[in-house]
Amino acid sequence: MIVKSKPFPQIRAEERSSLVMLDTAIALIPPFFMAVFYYGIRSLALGALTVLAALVTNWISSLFNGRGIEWWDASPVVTGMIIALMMPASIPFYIPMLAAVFAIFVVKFPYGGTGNNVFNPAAAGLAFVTICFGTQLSGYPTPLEPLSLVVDETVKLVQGPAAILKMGAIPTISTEQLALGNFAGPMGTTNILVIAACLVYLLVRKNVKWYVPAAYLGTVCVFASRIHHEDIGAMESIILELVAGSLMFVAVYMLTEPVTLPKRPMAKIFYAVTAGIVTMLFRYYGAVHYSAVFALLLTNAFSPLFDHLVERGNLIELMERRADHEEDE
Amino acid sequence: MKLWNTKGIILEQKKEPALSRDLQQLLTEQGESAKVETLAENEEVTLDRLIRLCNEASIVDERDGEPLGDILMGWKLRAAPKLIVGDAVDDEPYVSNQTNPLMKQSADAAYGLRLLQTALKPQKAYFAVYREMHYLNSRVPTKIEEFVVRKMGGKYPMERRAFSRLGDDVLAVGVGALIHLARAAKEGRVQSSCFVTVAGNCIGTPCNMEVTIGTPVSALLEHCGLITDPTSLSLNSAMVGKAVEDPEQTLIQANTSAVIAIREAKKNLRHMDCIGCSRCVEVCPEGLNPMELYRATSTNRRQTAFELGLERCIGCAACSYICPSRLELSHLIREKQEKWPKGEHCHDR
Amino acid sequence: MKKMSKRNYYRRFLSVTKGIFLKNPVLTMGFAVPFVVVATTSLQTAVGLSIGLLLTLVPVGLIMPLLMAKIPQDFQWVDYPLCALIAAFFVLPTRVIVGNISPALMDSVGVYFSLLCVSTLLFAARGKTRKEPDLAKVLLELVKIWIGAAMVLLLVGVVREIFGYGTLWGKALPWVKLRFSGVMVSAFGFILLGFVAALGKKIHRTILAAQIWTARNRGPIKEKLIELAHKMREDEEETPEELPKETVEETSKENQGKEQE
Repeated sequence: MIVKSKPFPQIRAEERSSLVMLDTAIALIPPFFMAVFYYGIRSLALGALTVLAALVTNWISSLFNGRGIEWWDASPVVTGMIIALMMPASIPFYIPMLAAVFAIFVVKFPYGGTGNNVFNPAAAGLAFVTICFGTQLSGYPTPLEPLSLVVDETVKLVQGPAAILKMGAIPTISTEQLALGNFAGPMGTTNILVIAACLVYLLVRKNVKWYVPAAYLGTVCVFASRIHHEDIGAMESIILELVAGSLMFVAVYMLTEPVTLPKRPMAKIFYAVTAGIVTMLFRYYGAVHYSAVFALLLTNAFSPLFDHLVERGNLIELMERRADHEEDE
Repeated sequence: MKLWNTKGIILEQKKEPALSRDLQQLLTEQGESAKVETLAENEEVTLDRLIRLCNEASIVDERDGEPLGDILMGWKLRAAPKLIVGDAVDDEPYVSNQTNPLMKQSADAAYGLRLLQTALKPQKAYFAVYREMHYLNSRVPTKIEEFVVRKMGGKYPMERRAFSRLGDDVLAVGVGALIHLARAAKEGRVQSSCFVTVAGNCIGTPCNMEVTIGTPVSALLEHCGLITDPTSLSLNSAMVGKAVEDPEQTLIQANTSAVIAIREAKKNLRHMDCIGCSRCVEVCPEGLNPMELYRATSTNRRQTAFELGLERCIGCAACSYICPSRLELSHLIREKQEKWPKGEHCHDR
Repeated sequence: MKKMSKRNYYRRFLSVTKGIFLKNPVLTMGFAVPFVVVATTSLQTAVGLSIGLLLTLVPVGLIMPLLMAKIPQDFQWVDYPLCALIAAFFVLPTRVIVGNISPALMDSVGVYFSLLCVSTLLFAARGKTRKEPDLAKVLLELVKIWIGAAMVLLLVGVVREIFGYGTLWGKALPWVKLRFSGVMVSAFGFILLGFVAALGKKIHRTILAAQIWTARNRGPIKEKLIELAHKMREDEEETPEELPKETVEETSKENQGKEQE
């Protein structure tokens, strides 16, 4: 009997790439449930069409990569779901589809495809759509009023709490509304309790390191407790900042994307803290919309820098330790 | 930062049922002929006497294949060691060729360690086993005769680093060598066998065996039974061992620790390129960045690879183990490490 | 080389249109990139900028080699400021001319128009040899470069106007339903430039690949390659055969063509 083995190692861990990506997709399903609960079947239709647009674009662009069409690549599913959940439920269908196509075709494919993107594709898609159709993205329908598939002018659109906070006023949301996410905002980002539960799922599955969202939210809390309206206390301000806008959603799903995150633990913490600082600065001095998303895009550009600094520090320590070792001998 | 020594990966130790089974034997006649002078009843045990015994019985330390006599000779010229450890640490999956004899032939092991203790007079002497062995069918004893059995913990690759962490004046001897030393001292037997684990998901009855040195691997496989055809047959380790192509031609040597026959499922073949999850970066024990190294070596960028620390790779294959895309990271990096000798790097092409 | 060019029409075409397709100044040399990226937001702006480019490029490109042939070796550093000065001299009337053609254009291009002064600096570097230039040849090259740059400007202008405003030369196009104002942003200009460059490269590579395929499977080389394959299968050892001379030349010429890109 002749046995021709593959290169070592002969045993492997159980996890496979498709499962890694599917985990994130599974963690994105509960926000869809809440969106259907508040806004009706339209949310599902939005999600499905965005995911389809992202998948088809990925298949077409993988033709150009020279590896053939990769049918089993599940990462555009995650991108599509994230984009859909960040939209108001009353938005016309072509806008999130356009965002998905831009995300895959312009931000992911030219840099090398899956595993090589420099910027978070979902964030970049959202940024592009915000520049193009800014007004249509700022009006949210009120929850618990189911929307039909075709949205006409009779749907009343209100501003979300982020816009109200920016203008200097205090949004009037009762505590139970806060807890259940029963206020106007992007489709999937209003229920922070559901998002927190999904974060726990991702932590348990070891797809996300705990210190990354913790550092980000910690920085946000520090800022929110110091700078707030006179009429509300620090705790209220923290809760309002966390609830308003897309912050929690970005912290759990978009900040922790492993390709754009730096690779070393200390570098990840620097990255999260920087993203938190820039988010809060955008919230205070920038445009209303998607402060967390734009802050994330900016910090993505610095992610290799953090890695480089930390690795340089590690190398210096290694050299010093070796020098000490040689001195002892 | 302490992150250097705590990096690595905790592997799933599939040591059962080989660990708890009785020690089996596959001895041929030719090993039994020679005899040496045993230790008399009241004879004083000195280092020289032990060295003579080891040389006559040709006892080999199975950890590295060095004759035990040479190792003890090295200690003759130095001060007495502070610590003697009977090494029964098996940090590789499937392998238990030091832990099992410790449990099944504990009297001989203790006698061997006692001999060394009497000769070298260290401050402490104990046995060491691997801590991260879970789901075992039998308990590893905490004490064997008068010696404590200490559990050494750590992430793979651990065995190489664990003993160096204990210090310079530590003598570590494999349990197999201790058992053979005891046999030589009591019965005058020459070492003609070694302890080998035969395990893997293709083996019918995985077990630890005492095998005459020089037996072909096929004899062991026949003894334990192959259920299915293996896709890989390796010696010593499933992570970084030696591949066996022809089991009838490959012979067991004194430092062979295991024969592992594995059938890998189809789903374990590579099906995607790097997805950038950076799990490999977290587990590299040397603190390298296997993801970037893979990208640099597969695109032939020599300068980048050296800047990333290509020469520091120890080839433990932890990165390949954990890669969800089943890339051959360790193999590719080691290949390029050999192909590009250090100091000859030029600009990236 | 000449024998090959006779048969290889694509190669001849490329060498004739050297400044337009093979070495497009905008896509390969970074010439006039600020205009393409920031200022070209409609067809009108593109046309206006092309005219402005022509009116500055040709005079400066003709005068500079003449002047630089006269400058002694020690004062070589004078090239660049001199070039910018002469360009500025020509930009002043250009500004007036283009402003008269279309005042709306000057409003939209605004301050970027003056960048024409420095966009010609690229050509200051070309006249390092101090011999007398052949004016006709220089003029032809300049015209080709201008055509190349104008092509890219027009393409980018048309794309941005259609997708951004839904108009073409100010006239609304009824069949365009979507309007993305995001294409006006300069970031998108860079993206568009990158994609145009990639598209050009892809077309070039496809043509080359098609040529190689036809040469291998259809031409007189095909029989020789089949013979070679048979011979290699017959021999036990793999000794490198001497390829017929034509194949060697052809492949090396194609390699040269790829490297030129």
